[in-house]
Amino acid sequence: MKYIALCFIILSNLSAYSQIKSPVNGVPDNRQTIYAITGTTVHKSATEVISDAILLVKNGKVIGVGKDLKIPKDAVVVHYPSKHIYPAFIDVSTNYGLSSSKESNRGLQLMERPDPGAISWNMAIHPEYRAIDQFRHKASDALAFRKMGFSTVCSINKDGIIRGSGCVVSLADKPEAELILKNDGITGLSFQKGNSSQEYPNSFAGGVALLRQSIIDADWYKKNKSENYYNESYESWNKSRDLPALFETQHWQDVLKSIEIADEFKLNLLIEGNGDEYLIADEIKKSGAKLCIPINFPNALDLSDAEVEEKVSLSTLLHWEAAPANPAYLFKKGIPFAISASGITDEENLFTQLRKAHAAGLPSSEILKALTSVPAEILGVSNRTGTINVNYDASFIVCSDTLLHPQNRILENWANGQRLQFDAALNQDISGVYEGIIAQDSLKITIKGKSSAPELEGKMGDIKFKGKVSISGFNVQIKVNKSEPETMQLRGILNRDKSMSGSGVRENGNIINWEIKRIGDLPIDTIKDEQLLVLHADSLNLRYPFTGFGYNQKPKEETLIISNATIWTNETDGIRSGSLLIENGKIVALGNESELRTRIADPNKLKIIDGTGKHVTPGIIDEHSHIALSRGVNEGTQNNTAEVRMGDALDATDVDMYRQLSGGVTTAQLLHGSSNPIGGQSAIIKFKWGEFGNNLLISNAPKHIKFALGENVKQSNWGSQKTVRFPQTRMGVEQVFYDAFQRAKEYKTARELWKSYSEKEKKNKAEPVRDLELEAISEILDGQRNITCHSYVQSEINMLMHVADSMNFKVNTFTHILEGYKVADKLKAHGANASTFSDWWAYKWEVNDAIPYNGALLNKIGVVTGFNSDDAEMGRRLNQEAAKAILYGGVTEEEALKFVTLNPAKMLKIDHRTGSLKPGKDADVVIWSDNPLSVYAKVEQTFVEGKRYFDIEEDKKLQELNRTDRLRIIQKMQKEKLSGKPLRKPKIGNKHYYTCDDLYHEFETE
Amino acid sequence: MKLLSFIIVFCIQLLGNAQSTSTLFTNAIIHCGNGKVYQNGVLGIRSGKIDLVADGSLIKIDKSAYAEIIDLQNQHVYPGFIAMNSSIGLREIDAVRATLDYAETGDLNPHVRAMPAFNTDSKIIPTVRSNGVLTVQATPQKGTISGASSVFHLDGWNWEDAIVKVDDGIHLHWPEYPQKRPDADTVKSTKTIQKQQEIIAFFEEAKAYNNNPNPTEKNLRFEAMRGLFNGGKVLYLHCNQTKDIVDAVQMTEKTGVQKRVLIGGIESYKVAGLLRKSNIPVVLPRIHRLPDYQDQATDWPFRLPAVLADSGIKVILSYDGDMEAMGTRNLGFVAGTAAAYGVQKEDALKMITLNPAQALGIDQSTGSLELSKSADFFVSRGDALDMRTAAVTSAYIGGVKLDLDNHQKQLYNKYQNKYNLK
Repeated sequence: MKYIALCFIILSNLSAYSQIKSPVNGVPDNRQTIYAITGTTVHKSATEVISDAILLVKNGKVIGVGKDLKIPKDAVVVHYPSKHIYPAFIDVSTNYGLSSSKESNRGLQLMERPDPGAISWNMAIHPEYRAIDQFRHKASDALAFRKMGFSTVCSINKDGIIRGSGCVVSLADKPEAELILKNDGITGLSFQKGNSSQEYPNSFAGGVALLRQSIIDADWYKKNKSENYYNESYESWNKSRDLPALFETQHWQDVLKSIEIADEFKLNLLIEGNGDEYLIADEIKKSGAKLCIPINFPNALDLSDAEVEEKVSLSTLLHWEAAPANPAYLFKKGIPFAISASGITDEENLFTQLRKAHAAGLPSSEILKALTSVPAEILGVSNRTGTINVNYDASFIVCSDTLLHPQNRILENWANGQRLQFDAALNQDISGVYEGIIAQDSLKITIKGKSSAPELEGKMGDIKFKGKVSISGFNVQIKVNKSEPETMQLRGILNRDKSMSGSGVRENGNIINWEIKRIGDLPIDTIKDEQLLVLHADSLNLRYPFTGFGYNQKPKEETLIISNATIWTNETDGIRSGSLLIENGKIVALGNESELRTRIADPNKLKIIDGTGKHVTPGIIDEHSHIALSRGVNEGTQNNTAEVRMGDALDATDVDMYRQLSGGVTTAQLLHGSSNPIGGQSAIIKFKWGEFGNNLLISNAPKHIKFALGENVKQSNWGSQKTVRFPQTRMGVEQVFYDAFQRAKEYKTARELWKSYSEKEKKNKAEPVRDLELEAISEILDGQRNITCHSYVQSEINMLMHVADSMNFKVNTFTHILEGYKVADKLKAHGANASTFSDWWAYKWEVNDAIPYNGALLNKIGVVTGFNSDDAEMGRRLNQEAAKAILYGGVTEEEALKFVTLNPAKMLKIDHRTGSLKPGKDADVVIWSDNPLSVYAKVEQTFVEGKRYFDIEEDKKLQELNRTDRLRIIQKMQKEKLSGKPLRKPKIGNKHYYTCDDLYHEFETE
Repeated sequence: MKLLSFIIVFCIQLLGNAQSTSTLFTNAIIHCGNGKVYQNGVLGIRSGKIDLVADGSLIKIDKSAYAEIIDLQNQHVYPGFIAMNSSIGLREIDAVRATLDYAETGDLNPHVRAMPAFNTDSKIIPTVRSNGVLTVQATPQKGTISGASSVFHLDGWNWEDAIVKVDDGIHLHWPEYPQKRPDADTVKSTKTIQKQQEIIAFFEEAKAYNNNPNPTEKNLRFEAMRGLFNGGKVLYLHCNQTKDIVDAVQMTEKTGVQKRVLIGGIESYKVAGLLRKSNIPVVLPRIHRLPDYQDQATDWPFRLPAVLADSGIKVILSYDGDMEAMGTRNLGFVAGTAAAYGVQKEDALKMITLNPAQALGIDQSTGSLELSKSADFFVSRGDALDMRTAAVTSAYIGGVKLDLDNHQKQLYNKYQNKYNLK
C-alpha cells in the first residue's frame, strides 16, 4: 500500500509539468504543496470507512489514503481529530456557469423563427447548444454550491425541448480548462418550449409532438445523408443521441410520458424527477431508467386564515406530508437515484432536508451514495470522483461530525485539491450548554439556533434572560435583550476549548467580569424535534388517485345481480323490469334473479343489490369533453396540428373524473380544442378513477381526431391581435383542408411506394421521412381515423362534406353542429353523426340560428344523434340534457337516453363494447334512484367494467376520509408553524376549466 | 305604486282586450308559489287579476260569472318564474360587442339605469318566456356600483310597456379580499380595505346630500342613491366569500340603507346568523355549477339552497353564471335540482316566484297565485321543475295570453316542413 502510494506521488510530480499554462504577467506561482490531513475518519465511500486516517493530496489529486501512511516531510499537515471526511457531492442537474437565456417576446404571433439558419426550424429544438461553449467559472455561484458540499456538477442548458449537451465541471477556483471533468456528458430534454418566442408549441401535448417529430427527423437525417442538405441541429443530436438524456419533468405524469418517449426512441433516459415519484415507483423501476430526484421538500403551508384553510387542495396537503418519504420509498422499492440540490441554496436547508429523508427511512449510507457515487456513475466520471481513492480527484468535504448529525457543519470543501475553509471552521459551532460566573452571580446559558445567528437563553443568579450571541473570529459579543433583566452587553474572547471570558458594563455603569465553560451538548430532544413529524416511508398510505376523493384501495371487479329494477337496455328489449348480472367486468345476462343465479361462474363472490324502484342504465358517454387534460387543450399555433395527441396530456388526478362518475358518466372523448381547422388526436377514456396514464384509455379504441370550422378557427373572437394566422375566413378554411388532404395523399403514395421496394432498391433511394401530421391525416383517408368536427353553420358543414366526398374520406361526426337541422338530409346521405348541445345558443354570431329542436329533427331524419357537454359541469348532468330532447321535439324517453349513451358509443365506434346493456358488453352500468331523465334522479352507483367507481354511500366515507386526512396534516403544519419552521403561502382556487375555444395553456398559468 | 298600476293597465289596454274579459281555468294542479298546491284547482281571472284560486272540489263555483271557461285537463299551473340579477334585454350575443349593453364604463355608477336599455325585441326573450320565465330583473353588471336595475315582464312593445318596477335597486359589487392568491394578499388586502372605505364614504356623502331637499348643485350619482335611504330602492350587495359578506353587511348597516339583498352568497351558509338577524335574503348564483373548490362535496352547490333555507334564510335561485341570458329558460330546472337535494318542491318553486317577488318589492302584485294579484302565470303539461315533464302550453301576464312562438320554433316548423315531418 505504501509502495503504491509512493508511486503516485512520483507520477503526480511529473504531471505538474504536463499541462499547458497561459502566460503569466510576472513570476508564476506554481505550487506543488502536499497536504496531509490526519486524525480524521475518512469515508472513502458509503461502504468503506477508515478511522484515524491520513489523507494525502497533491496537484488536485488524492495521492494517498490509509491508516499508516508515511507523511512526506514537505507536506503541510492539517490535524483534524474527530472530524469526518466524505467524498464531495455531485449534482447531476445544474446550469452552473451558463448564462440564463434571455426573456422572449411572447405576445407576437410569431409563426416562423426570426433567426433561421442551418438548424432546426423550431426555436425550442437546439441540440447544437453545447454547455462547453458557454461555460464560465462563476466564483459566487461556485461558492454557494461548495458551502453545501458540492465540488462537481453537471452544467446543462435548462431551456427548450431538445436542449443540447452538458458538461461535468469542477467547482474549483481555477481556469476553465482545468475544470472540465467530462465534456458532452449528458444531453437535456423536456416537454416545455421554454424561452422560444415561436408560437408552436404552446401546449404540453404539442411539446410531446414536437419532440417526437424532431427525433424522427434527426434519425431520418442520419440514415439519408445528402450532400444537398446539412442541418447542425440534427448533426448534433445524432452525436449525442446515446448520452444519458436528462429529462426535465414537472409532474409524475410527465415522468411516465418521458419513459414512454424513451421507450419509443430507445433513449438513454435519465429522469429528472419532481419529488412525487413515490406515486409511480413501480413504473420507474420497470423502465430501468436512471433517476435524479430533488429533495427540496415543500414547506408547510401558512394556514393562519381559516377561510383559506378549507380550500387548500387535499392533494397539496397529502404531497407535503409524503414528500420527505419519497427518497426512502424509492430506496425500499430498490430504485437507485441521485439526489440533486435543485431548489436549495444553503447548507442548513440541504441538511435539514437530508435529515428528513433519513427520518423517513433512507439510510445515511444511501444518502451519501445518492450525493456522490451514484451521480458520478450516471455522469460517467466514477473513475475519478464520487469516492475517495488514490489518484482520484481530491474532491471531498471535511465535516465537524458525521454527515447527518444535527450539529454537523461542513468545515472545508476541497474541489480538485483546492481547499476552501468556511466561517464555521474558524468560528466553531458554539451551540451547547455553558456554566460560569458573572460578577458574583452564577451564570448558566444555553446557546442554540443557527450557527450564523446563535440565540441564547440563560439564568443569571435566579433571573432568567434571553439574548443573542455574535462571533467574529475569536471575538464574542453577547447582547441581553432589553429589560431582561437589564440591557447589558458583554464582550470577550472565545478560547480554543470553547470557554469564553470577558467583561461588560451594567446599566448602572459598573464594569463586571464574566467567564463560562462549555459543559455539554444541547439536550437531544430539542434537536430531534423536527424529525418526529416526518412520515416514515413504511407508513405512507397512498390513495388512488393521491388526492381528495381518492380511494384507499382501487375498486375491484364485482360479481353482482341488480335485481327487480327498471332496466333501460338500449336494445330491442327496450325499457323492461328485471335483473341484471355482472361478472368479470362484463354484462353476463338479463332476466329474473333466480335464472341469473344459475349463470354465475363463482357464486361465492355474488352480491345482490335490491333494485326495487330503481332504474339501471348503461354508463353515460360524453362525446365532447376537455376534462382530465393538463396544460392546454389547444395547440392552435398552426392551422394543422394533427400530430398532437391529447392522450399525451392526460391528468389522472382531475377530480372532475370523479364528479362525472357521480353523474353516471363512464366514458368520454377528450378532444383537442377548436382553435384550428385540424386539431389534435382524441383520447377515448373511461373514468377509472385511481388508474392513470394509458390505463385510462380504452384499449384498442378506434382512433379519432378533432377538426373545427367557423369563428374559432378564423380567430374571429380573439381580439385584434390574432389576425396573422391563416385562415381568417371560411374561404381560407376550405383551402386548409384541401391542402392537408392533398399532401396526405401524396405522402401516402410515397410511403407505399417505398414499402413496395425490395431491400436492394431501398438502399439506393431515400425513404420518405415519417411525418406525424400527415400520417394522422392519411389514417383518415384509410378509414383508420375518425373525424369529430366542431361546426355550427350549415355552409361550413356542407363544405367539409364536399371536401370529404372529393378527397374520398368520411366525416364521422359533426360536433356542436347547431345548424345541423338545416342540412340533416345531407348529413344522412354522407353518413355523418351529429353530436350537439341540447339548448345552447346566442353566445356568438354563428349560433344565432341554433335551436333546441336540432337534436329531435336530426334524430327524426335518421342521423345518429347525441348530446355532448364540452363543459365539466354539464357533463355530469348529461341525463338531464338528454331529457330536453323530450321537451324540445318530443323524442321518446327511450330514444332520449340513447342521445347520451348508445349514440355517442356509435360515434366513437365503441358500441361493440359499451352504450347498451347487452350480454357480453363491458359492465358500464349506472343505478339511479329515479327515472334517469328526471331532474330528481340521483346516481346511486356507477360501475366501469364491473368495478364500482362511484357509490353514493362510499362518497360519504370518502368525504370523511378527506376530512380526517386534512385534519391530521393541518395539525402537523400547525406544529411546524409553532416551532418556527419556514412556511409558504397557500394557493387556492379551482383548476382551469377548458372549453373548445380555450387558449389558456401551460405558459399562461399563474 | 300608482305609477305601476297605471302602467299595468296601460299595457293591458295596448296588448289585448282582457280588462273586460274574465276566464275560469278548471281541472288544474295549481302551484300557488306560496307553498300551497290545489290538486283539483280552479283559477279565476277578471280584469287581469286573480279573483279566485281554490280547490275546485271543496267550493261551489258560479261558472256563469266567467266569460270563458278553460278545462286544463290536469295540467299544472304556476306563477310566472322570476329571474333576478339577469342580463336579459341588455345582452344579445355574447361574442358580439355591439349587442352588449349590460356593463357601463366607470366605477361608481348608481345613476346608470337598465331601464332605457332594455330591449323588448331581444330574440332571447321569447325563448325564455316560452319556458315560463315571465319576469326579469334586468341588471347592470361590472364596476363597483354597476347601476340601477329595473324589473320587467318578458312581454311588451317597448320598455315602457314591459316595466314592472322602475329602478328597483342599486347594485353594489363589494370589493373582494384576495383569496385565490393569498401570497399576494398584503398589498391587495390594503387595497380592498381602501376600496371599502371609499364605498362607505360615498354612501355617507350621498346620505348627507339627500338630507338637503334642494341642493344648489345637483349630483346625479347622489340623486340616484336617494331611494336607498327612504326605502324606495333596494341595495343589492354582490359578494360571495364569507369575509366579504360579513364586511358588506356590517359596513352598510349604519349607512341608513333601508333594504338589503345579498346577491351571490356562495359562502353565506357560514354567516347565516348574521343574514337572518339583518333580514337579508340571498340570491344564489346558478346552482348547476361545480363545487366551489376542489375537495368540496360533489353535490354541494345542489344542496346549498336547502342548507340555507334550513338555517332560516330566504333563498332566491337565479341563473347567474356563464351564458346566463339564453340559459335563463332553464331557471325552473334549477329549482328542480334544489328540490331533488333537500328542499320541498313547493318551497323550491317559491325560490323562483314569491321569494324573488318579495326581494324585489313586487309581491303585492305578483309572484304568487293569490287573490287580487296580477294574473301572471303559465300552464305546463307536467311538472315544470323537471325537464323530463315540463312543457309550457300557455302563459299569461296580467291575464293576457302570451304568444309563445319564437324564432326557434319558427325554424323548427320551417324545417319540419322542408323534411315533410308534419
